[in-house]
Amino acid sequence: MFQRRPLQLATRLLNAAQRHTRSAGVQSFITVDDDQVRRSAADIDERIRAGDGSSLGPLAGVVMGIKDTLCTQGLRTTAGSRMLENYTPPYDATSVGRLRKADMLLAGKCNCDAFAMGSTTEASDYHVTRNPWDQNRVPGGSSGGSAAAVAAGQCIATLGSDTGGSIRQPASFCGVVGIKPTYGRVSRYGLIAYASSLDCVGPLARCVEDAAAVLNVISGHDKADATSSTQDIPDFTQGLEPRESLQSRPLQGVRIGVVQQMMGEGVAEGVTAAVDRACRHLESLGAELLEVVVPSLELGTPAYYVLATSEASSNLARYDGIRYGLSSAGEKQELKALYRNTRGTGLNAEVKRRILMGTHALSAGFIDAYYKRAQQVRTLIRQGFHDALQQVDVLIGPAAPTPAFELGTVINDPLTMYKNDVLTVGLNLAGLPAVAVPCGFDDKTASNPLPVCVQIMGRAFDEARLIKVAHVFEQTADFAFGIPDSCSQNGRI
Amino acid sequence: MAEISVTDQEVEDWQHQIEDIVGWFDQLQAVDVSGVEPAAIADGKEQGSLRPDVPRAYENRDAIMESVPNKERSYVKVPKIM
Repeated sequence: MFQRRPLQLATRLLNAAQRHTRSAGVQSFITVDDDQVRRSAADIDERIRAGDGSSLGPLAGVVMGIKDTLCTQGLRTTAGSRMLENYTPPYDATSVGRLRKADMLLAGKCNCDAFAMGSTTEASDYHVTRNPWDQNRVPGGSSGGSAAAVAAGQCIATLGSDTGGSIRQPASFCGVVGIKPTYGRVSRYGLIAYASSLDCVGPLARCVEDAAAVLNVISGHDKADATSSTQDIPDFTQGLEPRESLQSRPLQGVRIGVVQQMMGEGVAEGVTAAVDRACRHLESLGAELLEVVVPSLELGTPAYYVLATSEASSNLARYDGIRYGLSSAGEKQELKALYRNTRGTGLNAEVKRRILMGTHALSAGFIDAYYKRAQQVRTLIRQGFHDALQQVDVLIGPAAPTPAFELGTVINDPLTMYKNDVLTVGLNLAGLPAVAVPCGFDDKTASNPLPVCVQIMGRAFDEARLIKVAHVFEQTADFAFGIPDSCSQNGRI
Repeated sequence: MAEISVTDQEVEDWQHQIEDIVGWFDQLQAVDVSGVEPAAIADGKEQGSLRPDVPRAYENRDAIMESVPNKERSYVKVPKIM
């Protein structure tokens, strides 16, 4: 990914970002750090000219966007919420710090649903990000800005976070690659918490190799996050052969389970057709495809929403108007009034609804019926994935049940929006990794074909295998990829 | 308990939405979970270990105080409690 002429590239991408920051554009970013990125790019240019290139990090000159739920020292971090409109963190998230050390160029902070609660980026308190493939549609969420920035050619890669599908679903809606790592693979330190037992930080990029290069940098134990893993980190880019070096059947011996519950009712015809075609292509590459059922998977969505809202009600208690963020006591200068008014005015409807539901699920008299029972269902789902992955090496299914929604179609109907997470939340409950990779379009004959991703899912800490399968697919499936017309003038990056 | 003020309009708008969602949660009641241990965290053999609770001084105190909305000198100011 190393860039030889970072300033030239950074300028080109920043111009693209600025163009799309205007009201008529995609609007991927909440904050663009124009001056800083030009200065850093010029510095790297200078170091290369001075013959000091060998001291540069593996992401030198690579222009990246960071989801606004990740803290960036000295750069405003809002989590998409008015509550943090003026918050500038005094520290970097561990993943961001590692990217800086690798000499990435930080272009800015990508739009997202407030506190990562949403599936469309329409629940951002700043603006709606539009899908670069069709600006009347959403980019997905909650990492919608991160996916749209890559699809629109504004960044080479971005970071997102995935609590219940928030990397994979926007990757699918925008036709880019997204990796949801194993829980614990990447430190959560500095990620503004939504549901701590589910939150994962991961990369989005135009191609699998770029996403893998970013994962290399951000992975690894961090003493600031007790749940981060001490497992060895392989080089995720190793063995990723270009198309011309691949054998005729490069996936010979790989057993792929097609998850049956992900292919039937509730999944759009165009999505099923695209995933079917991807499966046939994988078979032609030598993989053995089996039909697999993940027991209890369909219970994942209600169990997920009980657990995520419960954890959110606890995590978001910190926004009380005292230590940072918005503070508004209203007319009554009392402590309770400060709490209630600050939270009542600073949090948006979706966030407040989730906190209220989570508070209910954790309250005395209901905790066993909701929270504990959802945790027991979580055990069943974890076991279900474990059993399915005993039979095969990886699992496959669509990353989202539909292509991108039109703007405004689900934002006022939360239950419908939650049910759309059915294909992604189970994996978060089990803590397992997945790679979402474009596999084609919902309807090739439409004037505006919309991209679709498959997700390749696997065992804990087996990202390297998922990345290899996704890379072979990407290198050989010409039918699966494209670039939206809206960014073709920016050139292929 | 959540310490959030809600308007009459919000109560009206959300009442049915939240009832529908909580009703949807109720499908979990039909699942046979007898003898199943609850899982608080994701899979992983080594995870869930607690680190020792050792206090350490944070060097960048000024930056933290910078974010405090109401302060007096180096103190965080809150409304009268008692």
